[in-house]
Amino acid sequence: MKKMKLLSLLLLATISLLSTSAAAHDDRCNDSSCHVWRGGFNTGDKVSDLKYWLDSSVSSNNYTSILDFGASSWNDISANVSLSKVSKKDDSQVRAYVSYYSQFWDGQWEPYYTDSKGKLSFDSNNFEDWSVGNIRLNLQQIGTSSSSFKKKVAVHEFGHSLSLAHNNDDVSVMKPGDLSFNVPQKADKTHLKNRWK
Amino acid sequence: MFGKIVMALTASLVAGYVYLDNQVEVRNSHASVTVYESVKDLEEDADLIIIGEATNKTENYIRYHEDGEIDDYSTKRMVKVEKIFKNQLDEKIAVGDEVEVWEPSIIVKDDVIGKQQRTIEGYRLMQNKKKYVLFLKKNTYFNNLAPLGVIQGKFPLDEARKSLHSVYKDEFQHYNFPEFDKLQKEVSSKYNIE
Repeated sequence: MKKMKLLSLLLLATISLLSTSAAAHDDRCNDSSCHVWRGGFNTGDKVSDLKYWLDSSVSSNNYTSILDFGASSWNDISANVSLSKVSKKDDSQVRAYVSYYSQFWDGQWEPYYTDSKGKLSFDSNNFEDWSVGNIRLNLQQIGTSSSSFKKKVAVHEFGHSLSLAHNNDDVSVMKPGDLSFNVPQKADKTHLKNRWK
Repeated sequence: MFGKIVMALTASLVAGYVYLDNQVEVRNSHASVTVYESVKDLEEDADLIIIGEATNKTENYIRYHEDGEIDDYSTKRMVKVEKIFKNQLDEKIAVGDEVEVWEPSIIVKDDVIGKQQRTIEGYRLMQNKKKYVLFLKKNTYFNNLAPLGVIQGKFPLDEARKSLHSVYKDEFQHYNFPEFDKLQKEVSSKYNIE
């Protein structure tokens, strides 16, 4: 009977250990208010020379200038941050797509890191050193919106690619939803500079 | 004694397997969504507002990129209508009917990636036999019904249907959208849930 109890305890301990290791990986923030992520294009000189690529769906839906605006809005804020466009996907870290999606979101950011086996793995905790990331714009939701709002969504998603999180506390282009402006604000610039010192 | 040890070991292994098999790696995507600051905004934008009971009749929708990455996904779930507050759809819907709701999350399982949940802004899938207040909109491209603002169009009710608050708090506390507190209070009040 004692051995059975011991085995039960061993099983419980194993389960507890598994649960703990799963939960421990949740320290996503790089500041106390969580306006920037620890995850990002942290290695090498990637953010000082971050390359983005536009899928053919971008030009076919006339979103080239919208996405170029989204990227260039983050240039000239910090000497350590620069985004420029490339024509080959393999040369880029940030890839942008435009399509109709089945749910009601405006834009999406999906970062991937290279795991220990050398495979690209999705970083849902925004915690890892990213290798590539995808920006998606949803025609179902923003297709009939104003050009100004489409640009806001593009700027917001590129902000995520630079490790900026949602910001409900400041006047910020990283606040979700419709805003009266579509470019990085004072708080966004401060967070960007602090993140990429 | 040896038999008991073998039985205990077997039970441990089975329990461990069941535990691990039920472990779902959650992959949560960040999305920029419309923020609804009042129930009035939700009501205006919704094509269909119901209280419904979720069923376990589900089907995955997945669209892939050319390179094999998942590009778009939803769980199609049948929901039994219990009460209708608004219906601006072309088709008539009656209490007792089942409507197909596309939820912004899927659970996929294969030998390579294991069991994985893909979700947007932490959306949690509806649970079989649980009841929800749903603010749904017709997606004109896919012709499907989906919750407004990904996470803002689905409000879970507890079993007694007397209070929305506790389950709501549990589901939404990690979203960090201050507007949600106000929304849930308004939904509770307007739809006499509390």
